[in-house]
Amino acid sequence: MTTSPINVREMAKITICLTVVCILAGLILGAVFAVTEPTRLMRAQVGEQQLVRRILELPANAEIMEIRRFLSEGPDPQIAYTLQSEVRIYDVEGKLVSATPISERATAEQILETRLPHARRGGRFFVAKIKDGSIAGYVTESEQYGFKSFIRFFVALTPDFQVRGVEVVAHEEDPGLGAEITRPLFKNQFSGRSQASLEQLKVVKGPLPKAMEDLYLSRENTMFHDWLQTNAHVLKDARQGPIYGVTGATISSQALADGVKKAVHHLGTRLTIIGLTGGSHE
Amino acid sequence: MAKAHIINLHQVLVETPTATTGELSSFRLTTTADPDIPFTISKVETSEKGIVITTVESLASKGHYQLKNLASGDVATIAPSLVGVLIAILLSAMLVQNFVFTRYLGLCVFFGVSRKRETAIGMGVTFTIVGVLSGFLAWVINQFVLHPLSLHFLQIIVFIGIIAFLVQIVDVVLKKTRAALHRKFGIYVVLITTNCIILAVPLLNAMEGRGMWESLALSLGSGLGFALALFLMSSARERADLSPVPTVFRGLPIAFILAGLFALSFLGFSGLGL
Amino acid sequence: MSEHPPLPPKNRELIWRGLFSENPVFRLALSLCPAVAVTSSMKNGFLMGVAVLAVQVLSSMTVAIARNFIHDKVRIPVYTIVIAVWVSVIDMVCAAVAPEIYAQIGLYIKLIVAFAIIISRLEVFASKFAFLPSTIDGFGMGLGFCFAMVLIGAFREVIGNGSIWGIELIPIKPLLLFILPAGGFFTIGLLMAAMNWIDVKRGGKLPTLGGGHG
Repeated sequence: MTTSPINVREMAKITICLTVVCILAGLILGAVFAVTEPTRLMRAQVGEQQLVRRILELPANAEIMEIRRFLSEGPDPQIAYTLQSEVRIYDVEGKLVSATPISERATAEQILETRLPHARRGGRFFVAKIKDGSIAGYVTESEQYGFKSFIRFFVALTPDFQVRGVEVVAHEEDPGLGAEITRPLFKNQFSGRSQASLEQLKVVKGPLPKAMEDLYLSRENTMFHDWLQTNAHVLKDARQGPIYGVTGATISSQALADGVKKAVHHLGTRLTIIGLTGGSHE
Repeated sequence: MAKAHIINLHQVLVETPTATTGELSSFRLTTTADPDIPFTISKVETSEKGIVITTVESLASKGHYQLKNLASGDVATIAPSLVGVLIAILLSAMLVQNFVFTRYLGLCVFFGVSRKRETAIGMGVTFTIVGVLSGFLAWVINQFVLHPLSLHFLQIIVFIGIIAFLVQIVDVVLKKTRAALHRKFGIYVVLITTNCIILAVPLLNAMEGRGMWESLALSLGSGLGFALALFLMSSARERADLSPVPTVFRGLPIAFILAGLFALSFLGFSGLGL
Repeated sequence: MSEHPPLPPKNRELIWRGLFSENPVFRLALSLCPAVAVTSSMKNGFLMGVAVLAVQVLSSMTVAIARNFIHDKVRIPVYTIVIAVWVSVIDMVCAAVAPEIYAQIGLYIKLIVAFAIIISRLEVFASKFAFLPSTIDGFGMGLGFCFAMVLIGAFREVIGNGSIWGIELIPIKPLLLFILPAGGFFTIGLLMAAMNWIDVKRGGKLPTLGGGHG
């Protein structure tokens, strides 16, 4: 390329060329975004609903409510929950501050905007109900810092707060090491434990004893209650015993165990506050 | 209320000037993220430094907590110091999560310029400086333009634009003002555009919503980490060039094996627990 | 643009060049980051390969069409914008269509922008030749990258995990090392050496000992 001095006309041409290209690029991207974003959101939501249905083994007519939690800033924060028909705001002690019904004129977002401005997201959970209105189970979403980044996971619980299963939905752990926490041999070790036994939970260095491998592998394609019944005698001890960490990934294993423990504890407290425990009404 | 900080896994020290006696029920300790879930306090005792509160659950030294004195209504926030957080981010980006050896970014440039130690140092220094500048600029534009207007889908194009623009500016300024430096480092400046670390840093900052200082720390840490990786690699490759390496392994294949060994040894830093 | 454009090489030659003689990963040592980072399984490697293939072909096509309108002095920035647009498009489409996969390779898809291989094909080929040969050249190069990714992914998955495409072949994990992060480096080193060995056996001479650049 020869280095001729750039005159004004050429400068203008270059500027116009670049500007046109940039505007075109922006327009194309905007258009693609507008088309793909709704699909992405819908997919994410459908995928989540399916996951919740699968881990709770829900019948087709069961209904899933998503309850989102919001938190205001400051020394005396307030907590909002978006229920199906209303937005409830509580103080930190769990006392009801206000309950605003959701209507067509006031969506949950609008109520939050006026009642609890600048609140940030503070997690969410799902409550599943079967046709007669009784509660079929709970699923809570939570995060815990693993080895490289946050591990995001779902914990599914029976109405009497026994862990049904744990599903890791996003993580950045190393393949072959930390990523093994998503495998049946690790994640199914939580299944069947009660909240009380979770509080005492210890993680010991792996590997899992050979005799227990079949127990946790069989959880994958058996219904939860069948699994509990067929393995009742083995599970009796296993449910009180420790969790065997993934070999070479103690940090990731401990992180998920701590995360599950915390998530279940928090969910229990919050369900009591909003009065949604064990088959009660909303 | 007085200052409070975490002294170990289960204890918080509240620095009070007057020796007030505390009772179990007079304090409420929670994390900032979950103010509705109080910790179970098992013991409150006074010492010469202040009040020591013992909890049943374990506390994280880097966590954010709120401590409320229920009697007086005072609230103390417990947070790790900014300097500590920045040093942790810096060291983590440099060693524990070295961009080359644990995230495998910037490999093209890494293998391209690590044959001689001299070029490796030149590239490392240039990259760190330009990386910090672009990381900062990208943060400013993301924070004040893209984020408020929710134009997240333009991130890639804007960030690559910033980097290209900055590389041009640095190149021109260097050429006009420091011709000697330009002769030495000019070539590296141009190569920076194709180093994916420089694009990954602003993207990661935007994804994780980091603040200004944290973004700067990550930029600096990633640059220093890249420079360190280049230096180590070039030293090893200079030796490998003199060794009787099997013919088919000469050049790049042996460099990859060396990089693999470095990556394995960098796994050892994971125990630092930053 | 010159008035007598050089004759484009034959189509078959273009594809062959991308796959073997100028394979972007094994021969040119370009676009190495994803070759190490997302090849712990064959499936991930394949998907990343397809993403790069798409970006390369689409960018080559765009530049081949628009080459007469692009001012020569700003062609590099324009190429960068073209690539960035296509990468963003692929990124958004992938996030919408395949969220599970996107969760794993999302960051690396965004980083395709910084791949030297794509811009170098635009500069060397698509800016000089017509639409069809440019498209085929882009396809060949993309295919070569995809081939390398699948090969590395398959090698690592079989040796490191005893499975292929997620299907278990043998119940044990022969050499866990290869699926670990560092394994990607070893795999590429070994495969490059193997390619050199084949070359030597076939009577060719070793490729120059150059490192990649960019």
